[in-house]
Amino acid sequence: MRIYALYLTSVSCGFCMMSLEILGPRYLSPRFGSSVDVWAAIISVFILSLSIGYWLGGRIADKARTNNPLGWIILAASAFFLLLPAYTHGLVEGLGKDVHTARWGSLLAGALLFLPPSLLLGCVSPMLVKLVFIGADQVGRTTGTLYAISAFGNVVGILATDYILLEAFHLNTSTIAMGVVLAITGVLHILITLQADRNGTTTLPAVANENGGETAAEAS
Amino acid sequence: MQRPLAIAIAVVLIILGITLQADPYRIRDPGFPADQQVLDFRDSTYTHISWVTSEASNYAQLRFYDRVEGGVCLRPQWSDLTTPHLKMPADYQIETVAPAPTWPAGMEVPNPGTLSNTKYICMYPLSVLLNQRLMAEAKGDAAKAAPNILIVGLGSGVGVGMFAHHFPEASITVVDIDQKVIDMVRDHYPMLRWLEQDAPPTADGRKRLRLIAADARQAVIYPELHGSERPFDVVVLDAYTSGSTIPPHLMTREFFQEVKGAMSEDGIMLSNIIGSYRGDKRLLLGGAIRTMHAAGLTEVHNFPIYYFNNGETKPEFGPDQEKEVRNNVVLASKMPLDPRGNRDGWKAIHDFIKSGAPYADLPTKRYRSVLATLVFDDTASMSTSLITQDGNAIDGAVYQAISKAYGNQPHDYRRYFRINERGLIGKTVAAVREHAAATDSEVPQGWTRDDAVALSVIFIDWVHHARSTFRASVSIAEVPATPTRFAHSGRHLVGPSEEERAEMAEPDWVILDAPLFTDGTPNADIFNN
Repeated sequence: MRIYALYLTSVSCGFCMMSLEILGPRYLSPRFGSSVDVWAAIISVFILSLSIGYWLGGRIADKARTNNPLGWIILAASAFFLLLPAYTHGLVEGLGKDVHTARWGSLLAGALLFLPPSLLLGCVSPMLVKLVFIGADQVGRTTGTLYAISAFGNVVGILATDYILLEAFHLNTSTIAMGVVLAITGVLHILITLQADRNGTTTLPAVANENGGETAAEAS
Repeated sequence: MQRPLAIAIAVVLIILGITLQADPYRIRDPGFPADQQVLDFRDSTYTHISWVTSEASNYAQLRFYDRVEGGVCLRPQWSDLTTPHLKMPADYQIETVAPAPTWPAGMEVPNPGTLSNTKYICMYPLSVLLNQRLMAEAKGDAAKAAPNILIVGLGSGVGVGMFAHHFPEASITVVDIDQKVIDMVRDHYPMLRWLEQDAPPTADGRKRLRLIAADARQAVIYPELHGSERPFDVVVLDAYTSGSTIPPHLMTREFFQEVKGAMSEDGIMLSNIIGSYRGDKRLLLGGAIRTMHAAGLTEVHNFPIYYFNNGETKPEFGPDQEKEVRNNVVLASKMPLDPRGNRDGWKAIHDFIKSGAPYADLPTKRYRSVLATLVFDDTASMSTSLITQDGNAIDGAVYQAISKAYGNQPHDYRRYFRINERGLIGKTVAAVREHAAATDSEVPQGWTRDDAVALSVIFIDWVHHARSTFRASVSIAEVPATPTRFAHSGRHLVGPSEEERAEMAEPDWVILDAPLFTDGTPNADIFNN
């Protein structure tokens, strides 16, 4: 069960991240238009944040003793999702006329708006690898499965946002709904870790040992 | 300790997020003039769409975010039109679609006619008048011409209204990528809904209006998508994205070739392009023209959009205007379009003007609006407006102020006044308050103060406005081509051939270095921004 819960975390974080990438240009286009420049800015900001997030997430993962920090990171990401509809307009307008060019302006605005939440979600994958890690001989399988699941969440996020969310809901509603999902995910991680703590499964190696055989079978 | 903290943070964040979220874009700040009301707003995959009206400025506008994508005059209304084919049938029940909660309760829901407050729309009839076959079939009578028209990009839908008003026998197909835009226009522009769903077909049995949600690139290639009975005589390209940029795939040689394939041999492609002859925007306008050439639409003629102002009698187009960024109505065809090559077409244009068109059947001095703005030293302008609905008097106060300041001169279609005389301002303010009291309405914001330093007034006669725009732009575009300065027909804009260039002492062609847009290098939207 535990590993499925972690897979679910991976899917939902992947979903929200790519969904934000599809919604992103809609936040920028009132000022910057919707030319290919704006798309280039958005995509580069998200890939950059993944790059930093992977690096950072890996380091945090090695220091973490539980999945508690992961919960806090997801909760922090949810804060950005939840508050984005409140501050975007002021921020984009506040940048002033000078940076309202499609190229540098949208890159700057995109970085300010979307780098923090997507960077935090970028930390999730390496931290999950650490959590589901069950032994050096399974490392390829573990990471491969997690990447596959996360990428699947990405795809569902992109298509669901394009086909359903943008059609049926207001931009703010979609963003806040995803913030709520992330907040719940984050809180659950914090809650469940603490419970596991009482049961004596504090550290990850212990978890891995306990469930080793079972999870290996599931992962394959 | 962490568990309750995490739950508390999450709950606080969710509550903050829901309560602090900004309003939908346009609703937050309707802007100037202050009497604007939002009739409806919707989100689509592409943009945030709103339908904004202003009694003061006599418009209903479709907006993508805060950008205007086309406007219809609120008056004349549909019921004011007298052309038989558009006259509202006596028994026609307008289904009203409920406006958004932003619309004031009890306020009349607009029912616009065909007059546009977007200037370039007035030029649309050119694309039919210059087609010799259509005009010959109609024996020179524009009202009998039976064009098949494709419009790419719906906007407010007033372009459809313009064509429908002047060409009763037109069959119009509109392709727009956004179903939500089509739904919005259907819901809030009853005349278009009638044309699409209930109006009788043309004399030869073609449908009056089709609204199709598709990408133009596909609709042009696949006849089963657009459903038209015969090739198009006119293709209007007016697709803009929410950033006021032209989608690059609708600005390439390959697309223009596909348009050419969907048109009859003498078909005319009409494009609305925001650009100029000099300055950075020359690359966009020039690139478009060069690309049309390359696609085989070798005859190109441009109509720069200007209008008379404050009683000018003759439009001028000189070096200053060459640099100015403006709407350009660019016509491209395989058939000659310039006054020398297409004498019959230009005669048709002049006959059209002589007949009183455009909007020959609508009276002037009836559909006028006055936008009056008080200017204070300490704050931004405050505005209100008084609109005239019956023939002869603009609501008392502002009209008298104008008359006095300008010595009762007859009014042109568009005038701008700035009145600095304290006494006159005071009288106007008092009269506006009286007007508010008499009609039991609120005194407009700012008009409770007595310390205004100026009163600015914009006065427009909308029918006159449309006619003057058409006539001014035609007369500008008729200026004979001179090789060393600007010219409005394609070859001169794009520049001479390499050999001709070598022979020229000092080349001064207007858009010499314009790029060629192809599917491989579709850089139109970069120049647009």
